[in-house]
Amino acid sequence: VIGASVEADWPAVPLLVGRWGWADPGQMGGSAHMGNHEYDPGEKLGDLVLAAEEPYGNGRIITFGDTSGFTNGITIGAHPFTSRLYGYLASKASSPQALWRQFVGLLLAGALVGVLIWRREPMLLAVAGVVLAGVLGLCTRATADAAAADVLPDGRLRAPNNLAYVDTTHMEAANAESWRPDGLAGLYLTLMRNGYLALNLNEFTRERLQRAGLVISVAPNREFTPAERKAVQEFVRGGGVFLCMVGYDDSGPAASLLKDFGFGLGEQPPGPDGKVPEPQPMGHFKVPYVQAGDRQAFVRYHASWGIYSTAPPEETRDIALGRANVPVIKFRRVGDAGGKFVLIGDTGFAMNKNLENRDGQPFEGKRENADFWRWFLTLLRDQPMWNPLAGPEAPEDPNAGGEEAGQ
Amino acid sequence: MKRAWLGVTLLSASWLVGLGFYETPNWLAWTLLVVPGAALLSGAVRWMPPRPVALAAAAALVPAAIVAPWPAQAAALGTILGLLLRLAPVPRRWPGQLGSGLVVAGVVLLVQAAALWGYEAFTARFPDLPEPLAGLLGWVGQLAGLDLARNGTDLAVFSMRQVHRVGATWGLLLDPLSWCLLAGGAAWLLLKARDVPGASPLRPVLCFVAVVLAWLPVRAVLMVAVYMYRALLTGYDDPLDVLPGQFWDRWLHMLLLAGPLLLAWRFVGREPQPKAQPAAEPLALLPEWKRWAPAGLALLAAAAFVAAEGWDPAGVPKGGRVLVDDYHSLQPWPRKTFDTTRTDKPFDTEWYGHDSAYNHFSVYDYCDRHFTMSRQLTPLDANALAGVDVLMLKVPSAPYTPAEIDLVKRFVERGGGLLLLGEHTAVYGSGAYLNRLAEIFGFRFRYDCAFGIDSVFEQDYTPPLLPHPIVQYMPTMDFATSCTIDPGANGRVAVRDTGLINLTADYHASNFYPQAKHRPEMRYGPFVQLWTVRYGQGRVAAFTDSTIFSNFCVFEPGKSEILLGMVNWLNRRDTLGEPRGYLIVLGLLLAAATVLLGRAWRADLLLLMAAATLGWGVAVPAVRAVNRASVPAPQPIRHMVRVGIDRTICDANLPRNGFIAGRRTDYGQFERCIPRVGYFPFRAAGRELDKASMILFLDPNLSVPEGFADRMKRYVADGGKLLVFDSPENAKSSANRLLAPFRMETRRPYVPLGGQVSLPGDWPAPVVKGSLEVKGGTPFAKIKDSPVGAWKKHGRGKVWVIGFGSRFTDSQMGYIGDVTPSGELVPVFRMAYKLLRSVAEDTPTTAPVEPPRAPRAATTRPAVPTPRTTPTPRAPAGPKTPAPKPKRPPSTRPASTGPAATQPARR
Repeated sequence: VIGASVEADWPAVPLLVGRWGWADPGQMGGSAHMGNHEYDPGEKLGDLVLAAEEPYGNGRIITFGDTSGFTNGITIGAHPFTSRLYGYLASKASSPQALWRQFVGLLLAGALVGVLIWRREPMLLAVAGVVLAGVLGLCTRATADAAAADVLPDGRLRAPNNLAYVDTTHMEAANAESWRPDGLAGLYLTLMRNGYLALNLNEFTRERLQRAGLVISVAPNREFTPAERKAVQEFVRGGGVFLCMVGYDDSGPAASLLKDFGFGLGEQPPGPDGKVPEPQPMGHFKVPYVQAGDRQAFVRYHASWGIYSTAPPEETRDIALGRANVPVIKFRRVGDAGGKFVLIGDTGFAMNKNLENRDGQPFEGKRENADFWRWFLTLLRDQPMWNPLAGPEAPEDPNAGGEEAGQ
Repeated sequence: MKRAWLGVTLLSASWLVGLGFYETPNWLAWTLLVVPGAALLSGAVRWMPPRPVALAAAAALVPAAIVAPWPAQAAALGTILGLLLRLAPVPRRWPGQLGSGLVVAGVVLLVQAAALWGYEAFTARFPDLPEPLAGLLGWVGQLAGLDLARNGTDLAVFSMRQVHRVGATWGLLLDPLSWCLLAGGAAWLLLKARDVPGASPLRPVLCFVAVVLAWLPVRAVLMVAVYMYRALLTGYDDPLDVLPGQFWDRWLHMLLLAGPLLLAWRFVGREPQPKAQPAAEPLALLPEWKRWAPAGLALLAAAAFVAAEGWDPAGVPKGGRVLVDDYHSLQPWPRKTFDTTRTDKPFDTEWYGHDSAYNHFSVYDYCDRHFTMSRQLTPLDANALAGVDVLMLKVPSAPYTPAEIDLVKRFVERGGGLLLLGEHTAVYGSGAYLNRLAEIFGFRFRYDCAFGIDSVFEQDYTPPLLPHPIVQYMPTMDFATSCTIDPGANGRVAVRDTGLINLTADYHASNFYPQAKHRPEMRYGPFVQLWTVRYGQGRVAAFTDSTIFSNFCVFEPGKSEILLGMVNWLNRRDTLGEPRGYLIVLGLLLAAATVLLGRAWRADLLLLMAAATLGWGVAVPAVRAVNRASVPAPQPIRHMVRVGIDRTICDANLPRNGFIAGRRTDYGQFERCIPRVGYFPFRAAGRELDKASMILFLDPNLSVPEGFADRMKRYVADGGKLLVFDSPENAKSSANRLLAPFRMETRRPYVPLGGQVSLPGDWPAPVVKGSLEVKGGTPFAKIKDSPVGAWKKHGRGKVWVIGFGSRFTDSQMGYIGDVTPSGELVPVFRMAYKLLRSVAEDTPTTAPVEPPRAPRAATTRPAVPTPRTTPTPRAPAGPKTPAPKPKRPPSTRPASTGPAATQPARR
């Protein structure tokens, strides 16, 4: 985010170089000892070494001028880099920055240019072209190999699977700057508090989904391709939980995926003409989802819409309702491996503005939705249900869940 | 050629500043564009028609020069002037050069005026791009490297801070200026081709169209890219809502005309080349009629198009029985505190607060003086609609059952008139409930708010040159934030306005009202706000702003008129059906014949265009006159007291959309007292005041026009009443010029007058801070023995003068419109009521004059016993036998909270 630059004298070599910025010298007494946030004459502009590595004996040392990339909040988005970094450090592979490789490479390139200038023959040019094409092919292959060697987070190493992805590949409605009111920082933290490793899903691939336990999509703006929809189906049938939060007014791009699982936005399924009667917006309110005697636990919607399911009733379960007992949160069990597809008819349901304030202040004195998620996640993982009515420190009690309002 | 292309481009650019298409017209900028544009076209075309043709063309343009609105009028005038300059026998070159420039500029501007009118009409109905074009735009954007996805009719573009949804609209792809350049450039090329005998204009025109079309996607993506670039440069905490304004920024639109201009220079910059002369019949051998016949066809084609657009066959009036559905609007809705459109609870001198002013009682009462009104308080059924001519469904907060929907559909099919009154953002679910009906008739209410570009919460609508019969008697009117209509393919627009932007509903807010901030997904430009459809034998009208009919503002200019216009139009049965399609086909056939015969008989292009303009210039006033003659303004069928509030010599502030700001110069609170006593105010100037039962002058301060005082004297002599408020604060009072014919005057006293006013009998006596003395007439109000209020009989009428008018200004009547009078405000309000009644009803001032309000006999339609309807309690209008005052209904007023409690114009 904001860190120090690194001085990397030989034999250290740069690992990360920042191009679009400048080095602002720190000032004692300023905010976190940072500089004046302005470019002043003499300050180094561009090509700043942000991380460097140095071989040391049989090992290597990597130095960063900033710890932010390894914090909970940034790891969410930085995990493709940090995963590779740890993989790199853990392996004994040689560095691509080995001096002899670069020297040999330069020597060969210079020799080729010299030969081509010295003997300007068509045949030689053709041969050089073929050789260069071969080299290009090798490089491409090497790049592909490197991609194949990506270190993919794998939640299957834990039971239950504790890897949660939040999809960012379909231009979701949530802000990428996670602490904006429309951001999802509160959701990530909620997932982490409930034992998940919560990460952004930067590539919507079958390989990544297979290793996850929970995938969340918030009002995508880009439609899922047929291959992606197939991957989601495999994921859910394989025991994963796919959770989609979208309101009727944003539901266009998600409609095909929802339909695959027999879901849709609206108060009733399509009629004989194939049209879904236009639903009424239910707006912002809260409803009880668990009650025990005269005590109730509430969940608050940001701007909710009714949803429907065409799946067999025995496969579905209403979690929370809206006006006229129309469900707003509902899931469907898919396959025999415990997979579920969840639909929440509210685009802003998990955004900070409806879940968690940046300063930690509760909403109207309560943290109802954080409690809801805690309860709901245990339900989705088929774990003993946490009882929101027993207080935040309540022990897990399989019989303490109370009566779900949505039954 | 390059000079001429620059001229055409400048003329194209002039439209956004000349018309107020997006923002208020800027006449200086318009002049700075048009004058050099015309100058650059001087001498650009050497060819000119023969003298008789030129004279005929100039004459043909005269009606348009009279009728057309500015700046199209300037185009017609310029063309006429140019033709005359060309023909003038001046032994200099420059008049001819200037003349040719004016002619070409005039022709280009006239063509652009027509093109832009078509653009506005089309994009108001279909603002979004069709699927293939939106897809093309998305594809080009991705090609340009934007991280972009299509989401319905929006383009979603990624940035870290937020995903920006940019509307994939015609305004983005084919903006009005590029469209004007296309039309004007083509017209210029057609004229230019005449310079070279035998040169075909087809190739350069096609080439020009091709380069502009190729440029358009690039331009659209450039627009989005600039927006994204600015968004990325915006500071973390800086707002983004200042950015979307670029999409309707006229200067940026003008700048982007540089693209097609450069392309035209490069690809269409060569002089037209002659080709082999066709073997045509020598012009001289053509019979005379053949040379003029195409012009006649062009005239008829234009007239047919005008008739198609503007002629709305009146049909025959029906019985004027109007049923207002209160049942569905009275239904509860989460966080709905009261029905803002109820008609059954009197707006009187007893009920105050937010909800007392925020309902439709007064307008119902007003309509009841012109039609036979009744209310529906139970679900709709066949009995309810028996004997009904017009059914009014307004802001429902409960769905119509399938049986009700079927019933209403059959009602319209059989000849009924249906009025659908919507509201912004589908508040209380109204949009979706109304749409279940509206979709049957082929249109939809959008769930949005229409804001003004110039001033967000202000939208003045002025009926067009050729208005729909509904709005033909309507002055300029303020909307109070409407929704808009997606009109579909069939129907006729009655209110279309431009300079608007829309925001879709925020479903998090209790009333779905979004924060009025610019967003990139906003649509901008023209929108439909009143739509009409013929269906079966009946008619449907859909209006988008129920708020303007609320008690607090319904008697502001245009508002009651538009409702009367809608009911009046719906209260008619078609005899001819909708001729529009036939007229359009006829116009197209005539236009095709004009082109074919014009080519074959080598008709003069300028003459054809002038003939078409003549057809337009003659047909517009003719169709307008036919519409007015066939649909006269509805007249009262029951007695009503109309209080004219003078705007001839008084410019005291009166509210806009009922907003009372508590200023000491405003008389909004007093104006609101008028409907509370059962009278009907209207603001008017000059002769418009003649229809008033009494005229109210609030601090006259403008010069009195010649003859105005005498006309007022005649008005009073004929039985009219004047009530004149003057006050010490009115420093530029012109009241005495008005009062002189009555030998009355107001005079500033030597010793300031203040204190409790002495009034006769049981008149409530307010305390005033200052007053003028009133001289002449019979005093009825005094302070310390000085007359501060007096009346004088004149002929059959009477003049009343008050010297302490400022006691009735908003700052002294509670500051806000929703005030409930208490303490020292009570006598002020009570005196206002008593004064109004005394003046209107000519009650003796020495006797108790507080007439109790009585319910009028119930309005029932004879054919149907109506337990579902309720009578209209109303104030006595005119001298009537006092009836028992109705008890105030038990308060059902829900608590109103938040800013809406003091801001009536919005829910």
